[in-house]
Formats: sequence, C-alpha cells, structure tokens
Amino acid sequence: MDDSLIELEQELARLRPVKPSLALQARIEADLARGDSRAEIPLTEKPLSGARRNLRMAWSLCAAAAAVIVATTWRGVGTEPVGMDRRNESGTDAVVSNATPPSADVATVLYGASPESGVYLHDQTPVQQVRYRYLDTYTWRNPATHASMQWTVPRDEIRVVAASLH
Amino acid sequence: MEASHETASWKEWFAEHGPRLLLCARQWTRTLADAEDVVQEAFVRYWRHQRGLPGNPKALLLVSVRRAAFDLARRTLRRQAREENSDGGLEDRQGLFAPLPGEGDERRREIEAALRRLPDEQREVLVLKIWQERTFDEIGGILEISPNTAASRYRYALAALRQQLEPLCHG
Repeated sequence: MDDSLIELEQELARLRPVKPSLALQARIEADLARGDSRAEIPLTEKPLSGARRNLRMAWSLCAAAAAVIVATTWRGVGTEPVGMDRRNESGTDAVVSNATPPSADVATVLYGASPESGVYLHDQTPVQQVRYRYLDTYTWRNPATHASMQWTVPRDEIRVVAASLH
Repeated sequence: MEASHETASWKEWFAEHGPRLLLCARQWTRTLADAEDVVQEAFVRYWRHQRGLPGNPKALLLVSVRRAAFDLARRTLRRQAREENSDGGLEDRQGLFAPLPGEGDERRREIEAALRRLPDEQREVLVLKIWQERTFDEIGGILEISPNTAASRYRYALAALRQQLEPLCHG
C-alpha cells in the first residue's frame, strides 16, 4: 500500500465513533437485570444444538412418563393388601390407600465419561467440562406382597475440572 | 454485590466498545434507532451467553450484530429497499463520528459523506478493519467471504475514499 493510503488509514482511525445514547444503555441495563434472576448457572454454556435439545426433551418426557407410570402402578400393586376396597358409584373397583410408600433402592452404573468443551467461569477461571453418563436403577419392593418394580433411567452429569485453555 | 459488580463490568465494557459496535451496526441498518435496537439485542445475548466462550467471542458479537440487523431488515421489509438504494445503508444523516474541534470537523463531515457513498460491501469491510481492528481472516469469517476478498474490498474502499477526499495536507 502506498503512503497516501497509509496516511488515510491513520486519519480514519483517529475518528471516534459517536457514543450510543443513554437510552440504549438504560434498555440494556433493564434487559440484563431481567436476565440476572434466571442466570444462576456459573458457567457460560454454548447453546444446545437442535438435535441435542430434542434428545434432552425426549429424555425429560420419558422420565416424566415413567414417573407417572410408577405412581399409578404402585397404587395398584403395593397397596392392595393394606388398602380399603370399596365400590364406586359406577360399580368399578377403586382402591383408597392408607399405606406409606416404601423407600427405593438405587443402584448407579457409570458407563461413560467424555471431555467436552473448555469454558470460563465468571471469574475467568478456565475449566474443562467432563460429561459422565450414568444409569440409575430404582427398585421398589413391597414386603407384604413381594411385588417389586424396577425403573432404570439414564442420567448425564457435567462436572468441571480446572484446566488450562490455550 | 455480584450483581453490582456485573453491572459495573458491562458498563465499562460497553463504554469502551459500544461506540465502535454501534458504528458497525449502522453499516447494516438504515437508521440510528435501528442500529441501537440491533446492538441491544446482540449485546445482551453476548453478555449473558457468549462472552466466556473459547475462541473469539468479540468476532461472534459482530456476527450477532450483523444477523440481528438482517433479521430486522427482513422483519420490516427494508432489505429490498436497501439493495435497490444505491446509497446503501447509513441512510439517516446523524453523524457517525464525534465532532472534531475547529476546521477538523469539516474534514470529518467530508469523510462521513465519502463513507456513505461507498458500496455497502466495501464500507462494511473498511469499518471492521479500521474501527474494529479485525484481521482479514476474521472479517472473512464475519461477512462469510474469503480473506482475500475482504482484503481486496478494503483496498478498493481506501482507494475510492482517497479519490473522493482532498488530501489533508497540501504539499
């Protein structure tokens, strides 16, 4: 580049763009203040990709459906001997339980661990994210009837470990 | 405490980088008000979610500003008008740069007028290079063009400006 263009570059660089209005700063402040109550996660995360978001939603729905099934089935299986039978107005069976639900045994299996992207905490500490994949198996047993129910659900856990990101 | 620290932190950042960011946004919008809307949207997203990302988050912010500007243009059906308008963006006549004292301000107005006459694709490269201090690689990434194209548009822009502007010093 010749000298006159370099001079022109320098002249342009000396110009200072006008400042944004105070109204804009106030709007940003209001936006960020609204977000503060939601932004409790100390990490800055990448947004989930569409496929990953769908997968997570599918697992959530499965877990919710399983919970509903457990709740409704347990009423029938576990409470029959100690519950109070009665007929409702339509003539079908209904069970009213006065039994306390038994506690569940939980077994956890770690079946995978994989490093993910590095991120910075709010204090700019670099950390490495590591995803651990578990299978949690919940087992309910009713000692009165010897009925049992097992529910296995996958769980992902992301932990952060100190790292040097260069 | 944390919230007030955060507030001070973004204000400091915005005081330093906000004017240049707004200048960029004005390359891709028709009015100052539109540019401020775009900066607001992109900056809030950046501050909440993107500033800690590895790599080059500031370049990501510029990409966000550009996309937000194009989204706004689509929403308001202004994009077509912009493409048909040989004057390009920067349609409003509010100043791009802070006034300079004395005769320098006349020169500033000349430069602004010359900038407005540049083709959009040259001006956006020039603004990213001079006032955002981006490399041609980064500019290529932001504008989705090759670094060589960015470099040649930059040279064309400077040459066009030189043609339009009287030299600052005679002799």
